[in-house]
Amino acid sequence: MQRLYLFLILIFSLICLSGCWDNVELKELSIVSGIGIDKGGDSDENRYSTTVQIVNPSQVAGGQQGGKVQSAPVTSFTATGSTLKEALRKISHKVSSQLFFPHVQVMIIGEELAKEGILELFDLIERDPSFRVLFPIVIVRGHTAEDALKITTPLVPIPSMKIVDSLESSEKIWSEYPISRVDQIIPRLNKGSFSITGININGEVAIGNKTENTQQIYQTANLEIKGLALFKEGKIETWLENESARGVMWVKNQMEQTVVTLDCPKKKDAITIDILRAHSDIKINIKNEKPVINMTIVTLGSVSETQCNLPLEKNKTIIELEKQLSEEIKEEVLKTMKTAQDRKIDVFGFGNNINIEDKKYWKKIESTWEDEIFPETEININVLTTIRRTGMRINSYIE
Amino acid sequence: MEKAKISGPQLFVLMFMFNMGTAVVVNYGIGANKDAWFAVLFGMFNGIALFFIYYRLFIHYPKLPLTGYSREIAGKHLGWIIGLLYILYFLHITTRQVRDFSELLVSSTMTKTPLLVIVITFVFVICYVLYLGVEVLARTAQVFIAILFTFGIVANFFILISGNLDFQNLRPFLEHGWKPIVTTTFLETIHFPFGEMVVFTMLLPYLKHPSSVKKTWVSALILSGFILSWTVCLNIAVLGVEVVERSTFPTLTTIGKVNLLEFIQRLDALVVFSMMITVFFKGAIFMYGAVIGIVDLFKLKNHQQVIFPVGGIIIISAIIIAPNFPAYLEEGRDGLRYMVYLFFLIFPLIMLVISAIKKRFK
Repeated sequence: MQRLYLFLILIFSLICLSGCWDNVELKELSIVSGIGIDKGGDSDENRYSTTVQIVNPSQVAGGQQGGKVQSAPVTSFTATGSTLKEALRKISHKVSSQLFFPHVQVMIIGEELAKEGILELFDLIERDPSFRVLFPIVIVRGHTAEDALKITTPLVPIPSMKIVDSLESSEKIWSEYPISRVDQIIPRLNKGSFSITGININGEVAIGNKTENTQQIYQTANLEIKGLALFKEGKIETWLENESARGVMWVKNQMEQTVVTLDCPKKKDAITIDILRAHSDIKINIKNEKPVINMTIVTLGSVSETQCNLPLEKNKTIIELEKQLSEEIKEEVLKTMKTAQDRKIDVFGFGNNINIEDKKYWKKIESTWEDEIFPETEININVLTTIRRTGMRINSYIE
Repeated sequence: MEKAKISGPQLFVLMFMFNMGTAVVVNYGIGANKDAWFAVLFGMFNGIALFFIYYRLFIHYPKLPLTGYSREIAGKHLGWIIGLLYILYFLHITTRQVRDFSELLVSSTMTKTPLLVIVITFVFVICYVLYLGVEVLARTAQVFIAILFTFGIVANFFILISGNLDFQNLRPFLEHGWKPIVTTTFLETIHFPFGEMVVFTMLLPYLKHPSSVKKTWVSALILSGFILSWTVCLNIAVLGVEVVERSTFPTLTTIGKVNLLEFIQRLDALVVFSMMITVFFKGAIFMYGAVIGIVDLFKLKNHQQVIFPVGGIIIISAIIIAPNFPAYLEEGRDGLRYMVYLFFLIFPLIMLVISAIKKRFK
């Protein structure tokens, strides 16, 4: 009797081991590395135009095959639909296998669509378990996402990965534009004000589309991380660049490393200070029913390059440089603040700070905060800088 | 009644995993927004108060399960009906556990697999363990608690160092005042999972050392309460309260955000496995409570006769209790939350009062 039961159990487990409903062979998968969303047409049926960038595994993996014609490391396909999922499904007409989304590296949104509003774009990403919400979003300026996904990139064969790498190094080294991940944007969508980093296409798309583009030493067509898009109510209001964009990083405590140039007595922008660490603290005081934002920025830097002959051996010079640096940073932040206030966009999330500080007060002013109170809010910025070192030399050789 | 005996630590382990149940993964206590963790702790304290009702009843009738002393206290016929109601309650909650787990598995990982397949497999394993007896269940629990703790510690460790934590998400405390906390506690956290521990009154007669009940129950209650509160706290800290409100399985989303060194990622499996273990034991205990009740009320020889038929009932019920997941959640929210007061508070309290009066007049 025991043997019979054992036998039955073995048979039963055979049924279980034959594979489940949800298995898919690896050959049948098309690994999507990047998704682009553009405005489709004007009717409801082709609201969105989605582009997927699919990895071409034979060109990316393994050793080089000399003498063979190199096809591109990725392929892209586009389709339109009334919702994102529908548009993505329609792409399967053109692709030979099933689209596999868990490895999506980046999502690119076209500027035209961003002007009309992007609030509805993220439900699919949240709801579908095959999307990981950790990938970054970028807005492409002046071109469509479809074009952006066509540009070949040097050094990293899969362009979507190159975009992510550029975002990461840009955030770490230049700290001008932050990486905006989907999961960081989604909680802010309802409040309507947030910022997303932008990407530009330099050169001709038609040239970027070819593999010859990366076979040259200088790529005539390339992708560049540039610009910070400020959104209000889910639509693009304005773009910030360079120092104005960097101001946002100072305030939101996202500054990692960057470079600030100061003036010499005889030359402007002649001294470069490496910023090594930065930290910002925000405290809100409620005075006379009005919030006052007090910001303290603490930063550490070192002298990295001089174009004039400052007497760096004297402590007095260092202290003057520190003062100048504090002023520079303060001005940058004030400039950003002013733009945000003029445009009535609380991109920094001060509202949340007020809520934490005094929830009863916040409940009263929540509905009028962004449009009425924020533009008039008093902001006090205090910057404390320390310059510790001057590198391998003290004074420059310049006379 | 079996001749089996379970020890104090085994009961502790069973109670602890029972309490973790589905609560550790599902949307729990979020009615209180950012103070959900506090609502959980408040529910835990109320659970301790509830325990003393069950404890008193246990002291008076140490050898009888709930269905047994309900007949002693309320008379043969009324007590029998109360016992039957409890059996139905236990069966229903078993069904909900099975359905909950199957839904988790299907909606997060195996989207095309039919619900029935997972339900049948799951219930079959529960039936098999229970067929072998409560002592086997307890020993299995001892093995799995080690695995559960390991997963729990590993998952927590990775979440803590992932850099996604922002405890500012929990501020301001009492953002909407005390009312949401009180409402959530008395409508949700007091019953789920602390009030549900009433099913253990069916298992207490099996204890080897009845004197260790108080220590075991209360310590399991407190430990699980703190861990559940901590889990809710983590979920809100990592995801933010709006996302947690809208998620079906917040802990799964939280662990999905862990991405260290581009290498340690997609740890969903840890959470799914943990839930598999905890829900297995919760479902098994509820089903066992129902089975003991049936054996007691219908004066059967042993429990093994009814295990598989009851399993069949659970399988079918799990499919038919709700046509879709939102309906399932709605039933739990709107339907159950008042009715369960009957089982974990009203009946035991009344029985305790009547029993005390009877003893007074002896």
